[in-house]
Amino acid sequence: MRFIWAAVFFLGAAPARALEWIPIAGITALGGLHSFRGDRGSLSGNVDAVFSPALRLSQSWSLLPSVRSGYEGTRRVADILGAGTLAQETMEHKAGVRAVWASPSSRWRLKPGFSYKAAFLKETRDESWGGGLFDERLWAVGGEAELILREPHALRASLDWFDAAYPNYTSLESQAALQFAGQPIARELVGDSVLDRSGLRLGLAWDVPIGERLRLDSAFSSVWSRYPRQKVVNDAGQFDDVAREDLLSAMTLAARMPHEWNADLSALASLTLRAGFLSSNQNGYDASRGRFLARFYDYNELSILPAVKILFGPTREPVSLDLGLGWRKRSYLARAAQDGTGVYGGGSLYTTEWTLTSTLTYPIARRFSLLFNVERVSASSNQRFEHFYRYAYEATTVLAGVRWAW
Amino acid sequence: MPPVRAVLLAALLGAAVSARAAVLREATGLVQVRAVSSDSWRPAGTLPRPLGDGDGLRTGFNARARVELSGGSTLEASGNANFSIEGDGPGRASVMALFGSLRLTASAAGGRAVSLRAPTCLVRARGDLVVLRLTVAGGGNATIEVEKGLAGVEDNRGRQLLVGAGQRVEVDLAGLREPTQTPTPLQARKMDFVSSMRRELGFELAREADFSAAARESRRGEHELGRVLTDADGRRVRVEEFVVRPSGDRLALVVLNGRPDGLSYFLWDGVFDQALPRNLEPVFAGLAASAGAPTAWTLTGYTATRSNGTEALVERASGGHQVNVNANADPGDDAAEAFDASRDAYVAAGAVYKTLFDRFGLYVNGTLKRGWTGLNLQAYEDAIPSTTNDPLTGSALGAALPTVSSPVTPDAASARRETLASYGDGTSITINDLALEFGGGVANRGEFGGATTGNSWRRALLDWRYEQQVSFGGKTIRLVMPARDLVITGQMP
Repeated sequence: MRFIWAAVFFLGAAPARALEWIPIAGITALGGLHSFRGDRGSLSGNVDAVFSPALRLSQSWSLLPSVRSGYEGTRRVADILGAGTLAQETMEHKAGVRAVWASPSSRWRLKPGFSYKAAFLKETRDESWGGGLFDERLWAVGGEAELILREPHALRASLDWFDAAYPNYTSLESQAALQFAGQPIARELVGDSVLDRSGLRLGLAWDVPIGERLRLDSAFSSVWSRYPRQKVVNDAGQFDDVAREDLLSAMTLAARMPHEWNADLSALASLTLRAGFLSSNQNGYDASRGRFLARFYDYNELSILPAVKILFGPTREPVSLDLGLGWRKRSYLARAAQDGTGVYGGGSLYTTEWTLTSTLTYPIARRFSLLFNVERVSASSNQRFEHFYRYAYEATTVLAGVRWAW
Repeated sequence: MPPVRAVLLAALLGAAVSARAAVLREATGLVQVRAVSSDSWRPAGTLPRPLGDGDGLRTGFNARARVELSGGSTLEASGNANFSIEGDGPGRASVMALFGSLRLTASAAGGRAVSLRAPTCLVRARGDLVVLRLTVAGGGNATIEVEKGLAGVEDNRGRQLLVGAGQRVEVDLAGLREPTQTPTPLQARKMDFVSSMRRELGFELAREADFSAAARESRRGEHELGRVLTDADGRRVRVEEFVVRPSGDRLALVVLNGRPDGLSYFLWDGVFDQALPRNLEPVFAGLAASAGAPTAWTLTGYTATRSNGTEALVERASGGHQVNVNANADPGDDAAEAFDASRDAYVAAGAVYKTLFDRFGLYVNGTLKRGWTGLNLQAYEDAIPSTTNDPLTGSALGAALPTVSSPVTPDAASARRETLASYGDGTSITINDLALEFGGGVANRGEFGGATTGNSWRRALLDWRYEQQVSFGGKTIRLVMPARDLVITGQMP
């Protein structure tokens, strides 16, 4: 909070003539339907709005405060669909400030910043806003350094510290330990806010031109999270005095190439390869069977996404059609697949997803566009035990609406 | 010297002079030159430096270079530019712009041709004086902005356009676009700033994606572990299941349910005749029954509690010992099948060992409702129903236990089974067993199948989410839990 006030005073102290500000804003409002395994949800909508009064403080310094709010009433195929809750609603509000130092005489840009996000999630109809089990508060403080290699290509490295809290999530076991004292109903070392975590995020990104038309975008990101109140489960199903730690990493390589047939028809083709890894020291324990599940969360994931954006009409306001076909396979390293009742088999669990997305953007006026979006995902797995989570499903989302951008 | 040779020599000298007409006059920052005969870039070196036809020049970040062309034309290159001299001589100067921004000041007076060639277009100076900027971006896309005079622009398709002072036109592989007004320096600065800040905003929003991915994984894990479910009424219920090891010979299986109105739990707390191994899998596998031979560990007593914190239904048993129920004197308790925990199936078995208890009591909120006693019972038909004494403690009861009848009523339409224990004193205990749909609600009977009792009922329940509702005295304890927990602990009749 002190930092915010200091920033306000700093801005107030700056000479008025040096301050130049430009608003950047955009709103996307969509309405539509989501269906999951043949069950259709009710008509709902998604809204996403962003506003940023960009400030130029001097020739070298700029400030980018931003606020973003989003509401999602219609589920998208990238959500956690296996939970099978058709009526899920999410709302996110985020505020952040990023300072940008970019001296004309330097090829470096430095960008310290911080952000705060409040996310609200209603997974079932009986949850209320603010009372969602997975409501999240996220603080992030960090910075980015960018080295301009050859305009507009650059290498960026960023490092952030974050703290994520789930104010409504307290383990039942810790509650029971207090409420039913005297009963053997909780283990030693049980924690309360077991999903709260803090950690570091490292990001690297660079893009380079290959020849005259091909552009290569590469990125690596890694999020290290420590759950101080969630202890590691041992092979006896009890807790060791070691906190859970996760490392979620991803490497992405994307090649993009434009092609123009004529002045009114062009396309941008892309091929994105992504490899993701989650490594956690946390184990699982199936209490119904007394079975220890070592490295329960560890997985590797590979995805391939060929996509094309086709532009029709004048360059300034073209009609665009985005088509993408995604394939993704996640292989758990140690988690065994189960049959329909939960009996463990010999093979490791894997899931495969095929995703088809298409978006038509039709400009209707300056800064206004109509959007039509269809997404479909087909997921399969060798996991047959689906009492808690669906691993095989087909889901479709159809949305239509408008976008306004300033 | 013969006159022919003299003429040839003069011509060669003249050609050499004309090939060196372009001169690099100024260089600030990293400026490199590649001679036409060379593949390598070298520092510009001492200035002024003549540039011949085919020589290339490039500038580094924030660098700047100024080249003088014949006829008084000048070419200024900003940082990150790359171009080459195609030809420069009397009456003609041509430059190939490959990348970056070049500012040309030229005169085409007297028929002199001054041109800049980009991958997508050719720009020619027109008239006495023209000042223009050519910017070549990725893919060869070019932008021409004319500050003074007039320029002719021709795309690769042969389409031509005259661009006047204050005008700007973009050209790409598809050809010329419509010309527009060149932004003023203030507008250009503003556009640059907006573009830069939009880019930063994009980075800021993209950074959020990594945090969201980590949160998503965390949430997905909770769902996969069955900690967030939906009950028979379609309401959110949190579930946690774990094992507690109070001592070496004791094992407690706990299922907790969390709802907005509070916690409820199922606790099965068993005591064995010896210390249990660290790996409990074989212990759980033999709890319900053991085919062929008795298990290595014998359950000597247990307490099974269903509670919502205020109400509690408790079963207590002691004096446990293993009996081959197919070899005792009671044919009524024979078991043709035993539960195979490794397959979650009932399989045919010859000898089936089950644990029988000599003392048993069922308590509602601490009050005994029924019980029995025996001594090394080999069949429960030999047990003596308790009437006036607590079967576990032996203490005298205030009143004789009421008689009980317990009919089981399966629902014809849904996967629901009701067991109503009616006591002679007017009280009752109702237990509803429900197979749940994934998204909440009770499964319909058609999907579940016709099983209502015995092994087929228990086996069918294993394929479903399960909820048990225990009601007495106007209160209900609701437990969403794996049916398997009740099957293996003998809590599912």
